[in-house]
Amino acid sequence: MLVSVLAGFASGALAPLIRKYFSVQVTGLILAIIPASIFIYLSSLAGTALSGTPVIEKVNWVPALGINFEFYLDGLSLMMSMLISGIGTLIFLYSSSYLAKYEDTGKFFAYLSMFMAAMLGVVLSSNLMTLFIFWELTSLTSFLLIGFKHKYEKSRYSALQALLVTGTGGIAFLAGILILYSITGTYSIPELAGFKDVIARDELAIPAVILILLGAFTKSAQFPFHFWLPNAMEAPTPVSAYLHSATMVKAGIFLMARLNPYLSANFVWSEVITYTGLVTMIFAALISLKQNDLKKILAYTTVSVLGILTFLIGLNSDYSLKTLGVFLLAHSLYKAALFLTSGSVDYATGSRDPFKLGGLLKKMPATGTAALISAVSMIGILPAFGFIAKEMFYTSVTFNNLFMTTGFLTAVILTYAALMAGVKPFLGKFQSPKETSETPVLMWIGPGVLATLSLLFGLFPEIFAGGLIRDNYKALSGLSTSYILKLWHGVNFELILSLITILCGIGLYLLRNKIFNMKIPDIKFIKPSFYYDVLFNGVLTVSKLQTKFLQNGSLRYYFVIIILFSLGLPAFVFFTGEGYKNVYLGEIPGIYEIVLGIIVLISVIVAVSAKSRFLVIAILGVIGYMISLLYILLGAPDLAMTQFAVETLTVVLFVLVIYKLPKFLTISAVKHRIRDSLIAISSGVFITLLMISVYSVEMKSEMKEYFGDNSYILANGRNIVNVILVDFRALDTLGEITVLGIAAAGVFGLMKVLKKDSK
Amino acid sequence: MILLLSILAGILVSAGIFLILRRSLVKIILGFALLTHAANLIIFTSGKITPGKAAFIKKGSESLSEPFADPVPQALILTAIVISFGITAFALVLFKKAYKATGSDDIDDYNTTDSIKHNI
Repeated sequence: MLVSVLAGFASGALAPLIRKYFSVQVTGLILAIIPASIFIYLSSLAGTALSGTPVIEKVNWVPALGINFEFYLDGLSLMMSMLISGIGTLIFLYSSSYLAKYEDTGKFFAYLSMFMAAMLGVVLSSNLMTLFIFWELTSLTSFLLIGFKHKYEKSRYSALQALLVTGTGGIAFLAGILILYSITGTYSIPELAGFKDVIARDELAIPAVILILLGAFTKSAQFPFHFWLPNAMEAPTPVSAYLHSATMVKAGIFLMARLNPYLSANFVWSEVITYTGLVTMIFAALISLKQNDLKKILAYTTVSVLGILTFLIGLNSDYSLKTLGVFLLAHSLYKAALFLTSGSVDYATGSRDPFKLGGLLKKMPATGTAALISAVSMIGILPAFGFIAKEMFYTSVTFNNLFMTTGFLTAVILTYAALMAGVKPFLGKFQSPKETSETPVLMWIGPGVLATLSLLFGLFPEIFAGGLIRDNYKALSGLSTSYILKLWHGVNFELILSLITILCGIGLYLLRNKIFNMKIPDIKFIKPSFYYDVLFNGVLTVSKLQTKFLQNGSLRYYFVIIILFSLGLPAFVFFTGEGYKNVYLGEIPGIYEIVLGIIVLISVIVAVSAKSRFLVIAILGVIGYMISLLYILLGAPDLAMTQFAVETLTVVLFVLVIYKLPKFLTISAVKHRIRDSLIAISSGVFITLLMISVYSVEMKSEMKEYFGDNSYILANGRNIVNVILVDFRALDTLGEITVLGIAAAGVFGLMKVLKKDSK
Repeated sequence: MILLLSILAGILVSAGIFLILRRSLVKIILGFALLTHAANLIIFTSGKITPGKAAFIKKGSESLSEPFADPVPQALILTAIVISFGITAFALVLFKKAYKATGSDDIDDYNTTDSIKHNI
C-alpha cells in the first residue's frame, strides 16, 4: 500500500518529463496507468479486506514519536480508495482530451498525480499524524490545481481562499490530534478503541473533538466554511469533477466516519455534526436555486450533499450509518459524471448556462445519455443507485419531524438541480450558442462508465455493493451486520415521500425562470465569505501598517527602534524591579581624573553642536586622547598606547577623506532635533544608572587570578594583557587580524575605484 | 571612580546616539566612534578599578597578587579599539564613494536610486 501511495508522487514528478516527449493525450494515457493499476491492486485486496479482518501494513517512520506509516484497509478505506483510483483513472483519460488546448499540461498532470497520491494517503492511513501530513498535502496540491489557470485573478483568489480555509482547518485539526494524543498517548486510530471512556469523560476531549471537527468541516465545505468550494469551480472541469465529487471534499467526511466509532463516545461529537450537516444541506441547496452556471449548480448541490453525509454521521444510528456508505457511493458516481458532462457541454458549446442550452442529446448522444442517467440517479428514480440512497436517507430521518422536513426540502431542490444540470441541456428544443458535435471518445468514456455503474449498482446492489456497505458499516459503528441491500422495498411511506419529492422538484423546475429572476436582497454581512474577505484584507492592512511602522526604509528610524527596544526593555525591568540598594560609587576620583572628565564633557558638547567639520574631527581626537590619559591613570598603559595610536590614525584618515566636503549642514527640523536629544539624553542617563547599579555588586573574577598566577610561569610574559592577547587567546587575535585585513582590503579596493573615478 | 566612569560613559552614549540619528552621514560615523569609546569604558569598569596598578609582573617575582588591574577587560578593549578602527576606516572610504556617486551627504537622499549621478 505504501508503494501505491508513493507511486502517485513518483509519477507526478515524472509527468512534466513525459509531457516533454509526448502529446497531451499520450501523457494522460500513460499516467492513467498508475491509478488504474492501483485500482486493480486494491480490488485484489478487496476479498481479504471485506472478510472482516482489515489489511494492515506498517512501515516505521519516526517510531520514537509514534509517527509511522500505518495503512489500514477495511470497508471504509477500500471504498474511498477505490473511488479515488477508479474515478482518478477516468479523470486522467478525460483530461488528456479536455486539456488539449491548455498550456503547461505537464505540470497539470504532475499536480493531479500528486493530489491523487495524497488523497490515497489520507484514506489509507490509520496513524493520525501521517494522515494529517497527507491531509495537508491534499490542501497544497488542490491549491495548485484550483489555481491552475493562474493568469486569471479570480483563479488565484479562489485557490488562495481554498488553501487558507482548508489550511486553517488543517492547523485546528493538528491541534486536535495533539490534544487527543495528550489524553490517549497514541496516534494510531484503531488503538483509540481502548480509550473510549477517557474520551467520553476527559475535559480536554471536548476541545480536541471541536478542533478535529473544524478540520473536517473546512475540508468538507460545511457551513459556514462552504464558500471556498463553489469558488474553486475556477479550476479546469476535470479538477472540479475529481476534487469535488469523490476526493478532496470527501476527506472531511472520511475523517468523521473514521473517527466516529471512537469519538462519538463524547456527547459533543454527534450533536455538532448533526446540526452542522442539517444547516449545510438546506442552506447550500437554497443557494443552488439562484445559479445559472452548470458547475456552480453542481458545486452547491455538492455542498448540500456533503451536509447530508455529515448529518448522517451525526445521527449515528444503526440505519444512518448504513445509509452513509450508499449515499457516498451513489453521490460520487453521479456527481463525477455530471461534472464531466458539464465540462463536455462547455467544451462543445462554449457555454455553461443551462438557460441557454437545450436539446443537445441529438448532437452529443453519448455524453447526453450519461448525463441523463446520472441525473436520474441524482433525482433518485428507479432503478438508479441514487434511488436506494434516497430511500435509505428518508428511512433514517422519519423519526424526527425537523429532520424529515429539512431532508425533504433539500431533496426537492436537489431534484430541481439535477433537472437543470443533467436534463435541461440535453432535452427539449435545441439551444446552443454555436454548432456542436459529440466530444472525443476519451471525454465521454468517463461519464459513460460512471453512468453505467450508477445503473448497475442500482439494479444489482447486493452483488456490487452489498459487502462493501456492510463492512463500511462495521468500520463506522464497530458492529457487524447482515443487512442486505435491495432496490425495491415495496410501496411504503418512503416511496410515497420520494414520489412527492420528484413532483415538487419538477414543479420547481417548471418555475425556474421565475425563481431565477426573483429578487433577493443581497445582504453582504450574512455571507460567511464576506467575513473571509474582511479578515483577509484586515490581515493585509495590519501587516502593511506593521511594515510601515517597523520597516519604513529610513535608517534613522531603524536606529530609533533598535535603541528604544534594546534600552527600553532593560529600563522597564530596571525601574520596575527591586532597584538598587547598596550603591557603591567607588573611591573618590583624583583631581586628574575629574579634570579629564570635564574636558571630555566640554568636547562632547562642542562636537554635537559644532558647525565646522574640522573642529569636530579635532574634538574627536581630543576625546580619544583624554580617554587614553584616563587609561594611563587607571592602570591600563597598553590600552592607552593603542588608543593613542589609533586616535591619531583616525584623525588623519578623517582629514584625508573628507577635507573636500561641503560644510556641515543642519538638515533636520527642530522638532526632530528635540526628539533625538530626548532619546539620546534618556539613553545616556539610563546607561549611567545601569552601570552604577551593576558595578555596585562585588564581582570576583577567577580569570583575573588565573592570569595573575600563570602568565609568567606558563607563558613567560610579564605584561599580562599582552600575554592574554598573543598567547592565551592568540586565536582571537588571529581573528582580529583577519578582520583588519579584510577591512584593509576593502579600503584599498574602494580607494582604487575612487582614484579611477577622479581620473 | 565608578561614578565618574559611569557619567562619562553616559555622556558619550548620549552624544553618540544623538549623532547617529542625524541625517548627515559623516555625523553618523562620528557617532559610532563616540559609542565605541562609551562601550570600552563600560567594559573597562567591569574590572576592579585600581588606579596606578597595571597588570605587570615585577622582575624577580613569578606571579602577581592583588591589588592589580583586571587584565581580561583590558584585553577585550584592546581588540575592540583595533576593530573599531577598521570599521571607521572602511565606513569612511565607503562614505567617500557614496558621496562621489550621489553628490550628497544626506542619507535621506539615499532612499531612492534615482538621484545617483555617476555609475558606481
